[in-house]
Amino acid sequence: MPYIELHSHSYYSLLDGVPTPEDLVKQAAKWEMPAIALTDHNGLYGIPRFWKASQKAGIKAIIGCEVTLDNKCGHLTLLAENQIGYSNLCRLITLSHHKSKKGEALLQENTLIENSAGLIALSGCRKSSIVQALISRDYQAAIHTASRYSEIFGQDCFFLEMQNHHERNDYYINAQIANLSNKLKLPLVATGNVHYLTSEDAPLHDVLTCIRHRLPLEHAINYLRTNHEYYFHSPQQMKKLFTEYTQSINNTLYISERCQVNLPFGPQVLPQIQLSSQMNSDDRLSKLCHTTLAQKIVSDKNKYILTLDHELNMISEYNLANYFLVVWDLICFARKNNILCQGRGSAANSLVAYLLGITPIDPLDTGLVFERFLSRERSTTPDIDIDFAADRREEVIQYIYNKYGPEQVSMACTIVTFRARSALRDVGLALGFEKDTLQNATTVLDDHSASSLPESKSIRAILKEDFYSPRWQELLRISALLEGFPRHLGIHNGGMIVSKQKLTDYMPIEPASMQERTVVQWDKDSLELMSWIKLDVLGMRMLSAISDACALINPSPELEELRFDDPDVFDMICRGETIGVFQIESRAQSSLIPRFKPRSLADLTIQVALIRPGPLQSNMVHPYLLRREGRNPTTYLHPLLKPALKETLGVILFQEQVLKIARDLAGFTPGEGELLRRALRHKHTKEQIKHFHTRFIDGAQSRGVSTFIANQIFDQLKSFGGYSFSKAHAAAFAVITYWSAWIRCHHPTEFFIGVLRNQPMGFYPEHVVISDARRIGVRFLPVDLRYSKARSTLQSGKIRLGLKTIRGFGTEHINLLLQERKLAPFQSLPNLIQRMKFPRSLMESIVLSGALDYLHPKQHRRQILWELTGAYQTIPRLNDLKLTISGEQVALKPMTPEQKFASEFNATQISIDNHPTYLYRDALSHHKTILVSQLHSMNNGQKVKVGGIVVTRQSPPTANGIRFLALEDSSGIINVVIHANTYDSYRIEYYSNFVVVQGNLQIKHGALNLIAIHIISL
Amino acid sequence: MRILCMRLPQLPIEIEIQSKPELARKPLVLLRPCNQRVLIASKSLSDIGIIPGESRRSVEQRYPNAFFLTATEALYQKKHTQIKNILGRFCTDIESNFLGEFFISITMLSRIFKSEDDLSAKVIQQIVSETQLPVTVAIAGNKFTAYCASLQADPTCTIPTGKEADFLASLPLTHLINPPSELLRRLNIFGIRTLGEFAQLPHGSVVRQFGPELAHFHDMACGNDNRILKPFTYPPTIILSKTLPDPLSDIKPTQNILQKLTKQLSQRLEQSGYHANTLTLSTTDENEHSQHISTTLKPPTSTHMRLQHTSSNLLNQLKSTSPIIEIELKAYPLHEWHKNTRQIKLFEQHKSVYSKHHLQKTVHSLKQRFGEHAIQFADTLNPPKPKSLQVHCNPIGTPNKLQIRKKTYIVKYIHQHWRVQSHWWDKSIKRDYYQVNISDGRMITLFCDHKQTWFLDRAIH
Repeated sequence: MPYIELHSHSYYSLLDGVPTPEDLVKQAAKWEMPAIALTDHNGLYGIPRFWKASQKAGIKAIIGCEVTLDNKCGHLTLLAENQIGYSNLCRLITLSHHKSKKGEALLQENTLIENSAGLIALSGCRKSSIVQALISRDYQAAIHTASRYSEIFGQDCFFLEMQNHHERNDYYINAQIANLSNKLKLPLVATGNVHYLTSEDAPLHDVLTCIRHRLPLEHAINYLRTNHEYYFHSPQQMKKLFTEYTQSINNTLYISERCQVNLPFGPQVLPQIQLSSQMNSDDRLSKLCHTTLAQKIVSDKNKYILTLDHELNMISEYNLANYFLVVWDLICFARKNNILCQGRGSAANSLVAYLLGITPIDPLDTGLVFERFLSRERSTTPDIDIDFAADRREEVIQYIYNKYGPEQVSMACTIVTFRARSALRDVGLALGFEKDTLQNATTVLDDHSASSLPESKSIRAILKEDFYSPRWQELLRISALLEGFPRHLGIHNGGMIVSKQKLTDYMPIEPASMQERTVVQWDKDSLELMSWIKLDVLGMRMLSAISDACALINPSPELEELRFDDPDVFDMICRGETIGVFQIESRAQSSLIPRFKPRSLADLTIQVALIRPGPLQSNMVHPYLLRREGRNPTTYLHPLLKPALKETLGVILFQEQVLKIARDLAGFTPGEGELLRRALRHKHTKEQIKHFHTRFIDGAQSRGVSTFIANQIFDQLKSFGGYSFSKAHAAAFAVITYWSAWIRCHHPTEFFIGVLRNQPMGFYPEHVVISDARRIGVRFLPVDLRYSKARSTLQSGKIRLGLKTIRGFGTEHINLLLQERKLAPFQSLPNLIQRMKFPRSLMESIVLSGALDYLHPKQHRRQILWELTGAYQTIPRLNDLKLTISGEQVALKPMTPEQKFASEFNATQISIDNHPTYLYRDALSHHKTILVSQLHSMNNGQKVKVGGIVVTRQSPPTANGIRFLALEDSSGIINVVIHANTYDSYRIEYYSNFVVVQGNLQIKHGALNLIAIHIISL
Repeated sequence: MRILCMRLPQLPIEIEIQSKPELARKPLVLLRPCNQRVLIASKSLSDIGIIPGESRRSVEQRYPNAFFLTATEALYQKKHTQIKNILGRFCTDIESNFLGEFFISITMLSRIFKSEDDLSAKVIQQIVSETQLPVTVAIAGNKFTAYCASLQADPTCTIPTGKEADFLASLPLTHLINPPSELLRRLNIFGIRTLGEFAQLPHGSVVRQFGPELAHFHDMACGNDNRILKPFTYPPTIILSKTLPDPLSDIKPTQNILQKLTKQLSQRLEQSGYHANTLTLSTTDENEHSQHISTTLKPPTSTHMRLQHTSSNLLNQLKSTSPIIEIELKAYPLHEWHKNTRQIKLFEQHKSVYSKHHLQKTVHSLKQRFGEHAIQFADTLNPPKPKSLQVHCNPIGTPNKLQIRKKTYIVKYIHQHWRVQSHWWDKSIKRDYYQVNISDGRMITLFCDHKQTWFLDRAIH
């Protein structure tokens, strides 16, 4: 008689389990178990992966959960026997999370009574109320509890669970459970309560326990398991452990045979959009699209109609018409309410999406491939990502909740996993390392993946010989094991699940940190595995910035009417004036511009896609640029590549080109081409790639392409596939790039107001944006308590800085101030303090920012600061009639201009008068530095010294250890390139805010770089 | 009143150089053996900002050429006492709060010596002739001025009566002794950088600005310091409190503040070498309603993590409904029976490198310093070691026969078998326990360790 494990935890038990769901299934299959149950704590987070793995291994997946009961009633193991049971399990887990603290779940017994149908309950582990009663020798309580559960679930659905982990009292407990079984006529079942695969994993489990309780191992003894026996026992081992209770082993098979559940695979039934007539969704969508096509498309209509019909057929085949209508309804809502929005991602490959106004890209005109979005070969469901103006996204989310009901709508969760930093920090604390030591190590850590920690160069560099000490080696080894382990639950950026039925029938839901917001227990990958469709309602600050800027421009421009051919806009871009412009403001992009010189939307699309890991890593950027400049001829490895690669001069840049190459060269259908692309992107197993390779080579040969050339092309696809960028996505972004560039070019003041209002955004901090705006002649007015609003505003053609620029001035305080200001102006400092009751630190920031200068024109800021104390002390005695300062005269020296500037910069992090390097002008002149603007008149290779503020630091994984700084002085920004060996010598200086860099000037194709030799921290 | 302040600020460094002259001029850092943190750094390193308490790693990053040595604190204490004894020949009431820093009242000595300069010279002569250590001596009308003068002395400095304020005027505010960071921050934003600028503020305004509790810092800056000399006594309590700028109702920020206070407390306890027996947490809410809660502590109480854990538990037990405006943490370091007893943390529990030999060496030097009977070993809290047993097992590995005091017993019945595996991160424990009935009717618990050696854990008649 085989044994089936009915109580096992994966790492989705969040810090109380080690194996992945796949590991458990693999081990069960190895031991020829016909089934296995996954019973994570209070959740079904791992069920989709577990289900898929079980299907693949050909064994039955039993869905379960170990729930925690309220009122110290401990744990209970629940298994879904049928579909009703599965729905009840989802509901119970949902209810257990409801009203509990985040990360906790407690189930009320009465909810158990109402939702027990279709569930098989096992009495639970050592933490169950029955075992706890037995340990405290309260046999009557144990009888009472067992009888109660038997009543709730029914005598044939409640099993007394026996475990043997060689813990003290296990003999006694099992004997007593057997007695209970005899007395109450309840069946027994043996379980392993698996928390790790082998006993070697037990230390890792101990570390996870310490992380959960935030204690070092030394102090966590009471929370750790007493031995290493909670591993996955083989059937033989289990039979040996339960020789006296063979029935308990036999019952595992009995339970497993009773459990017959199918997971709710998608796509889910979506709510019906109210239709004006009796048309079904397919017809409605078709009518909508055809009507728009007739209005929107003027030439080559037949081609469009053919494509549209093909797409509509596919959409109908996959039951996605309603999905499109739901998205269309959302877009209509946004447009009606003037919320700027735009679809992006693979959806832009669809003509239907274009015609519904979801995306601005005409896929036929742009040469996009629908199968990149949806194809018969693709097993997963597609989703549509829509960007909304970030500050108004909440309105859209609320619209969805209100329209479809809170029980039918929820957000997707994200499982936050351990990466290098979090693993090192948490494991370090568990192993008793000091916080400071760990802080030092994590600060300089370059690695993102925890698995690379044992070979981390950055840690080795700071630890030197200590790196090899057993203590550090152990820390690094254990940290590496945690790579990818779930740490806690988060909320997905914008992934929303909408269903016609209640979501709790299909998956458990938890409350999110945000009030009245819920998340499903499946993340986007799990939802994709289960073919559930989600709506990605994303927030994009640039859309908010554009929206804000347009609102200030009189008359407001019609962005959708812009023709993407304004020479002034492209001239501005070619001059490198791109700070604040969407996607092309980074240092890498701006150094590309002198060579690239974009002149059209198609160029911008390529530019957006060019500075990406894919083209960079597969060395496609320079060949492309050389061809574009006409310095190298455009060649193709094979003439069949020309149709696909003509637009990018023979270089692979876009994902869609992979599909086209596979089609043209090897006869793949577009759907197969998409499968090939996904296999390459997700680095599928060698076997899968080998399968595609063979198919590709055979297909190419049949079209007369030599094996050598076909292999070369396949290798290029392979190296590119990992990081490729969708053309549809790039094209959608390029539209926003053009819009933002157009506003910057023609309405710079309004543009910078928009950008400043929506900080943090983009590549540069606020002070860099302001410096750049000043350089092109935008004028600023300082923050002033009389005139400033929460965010920056337009005042007499200048930008009046908003109150938000003052450090510590939060929205709540600002709103209070604005309300109070409306009632009456602030007459004095005590008047302000009395009315607003702001904390002292905030008042200091307000004074130092200069926002209060107008109140006391004869007093300098230090004097006002001194009087703050008096003003606070007199609050209780003040009344509206006596609003004067105490009159205490203390002779304080006024601030020097430098001190004034420094304190303003400190209070606001921005400056509208001077550049921050003003503070270091003596040091800079001591080091004999030159201005960035002077570099343009110097020669390639010349030795120079430049000083300034570090505005960005970058260490791209594709740059082989080379790091980049963007250094700004009052005249401009220069890229500093730091080679690995230089970085090793100047690690600390690299992280300084103000530096002097000595190095060789590199002028290449009009782009300036400074190759660092020495770095001095100021 | 006239006060003499004598300082050997680099005492440990000088002692090390004295024993190893080749270390002179090296950028030396002495590390505490217990935690590998800086005890003191040579002047060149102190000048670039390396401060006591900093980690070795941090020093290495900032100054890779630093030369590290493990501090021999007992030796420095010995030298400190030697100097104190020499100074005791001049005056018996000596205040000494830090290694190498001494204050004595010289009001009565002025009759014996020709002048204060003569006295300073004599003191220096005595110290240098007996210890060969460089020393600075300053005399002034109060402790603070004398202390500041000793910082400037070369090697002596005498501040005439009435000239204290003039002398202090140009000194930076950092010369103030343990000023609250808020005081320094505010003075900084007011543009006040020197003691003289501080002194120029009207006293009343200073009191209104900073509160009466900080007014003495202004007095000091003005050259007035009324503190009398306090020959060293064991402080009965350590009280740390924090008045919050804004009332707090959230537990998290309150926990953070408490965490900072416990860190300070652990440092103070560690510096003093005591263990606290009781920890009291008091909170005052915005209605001026106070709550107190206490708990007893077990040594070593200077461990930050444990203090933090305990104080955090105390905070959780307080049921505060109104926002808190003040938090106070009070540790009672000594009970009556602790008097004249100092507990010295000799080694960290997890650092096995401090071997028995090291312990013996330390105890030896402590005995040398304090006398044979002054040092006593505390009883360990661990249970007595189990006795080894001769056990015969059956083929499946369970015991069936055993020998206790040369007498053989047969195992009649095995009640329980359990396994313990723990402390894999330190000294791994792996034991298989058996609770058995033996032939004389006793129930005994025995275990087999990872080396397959058997031990008797307990026997019940």
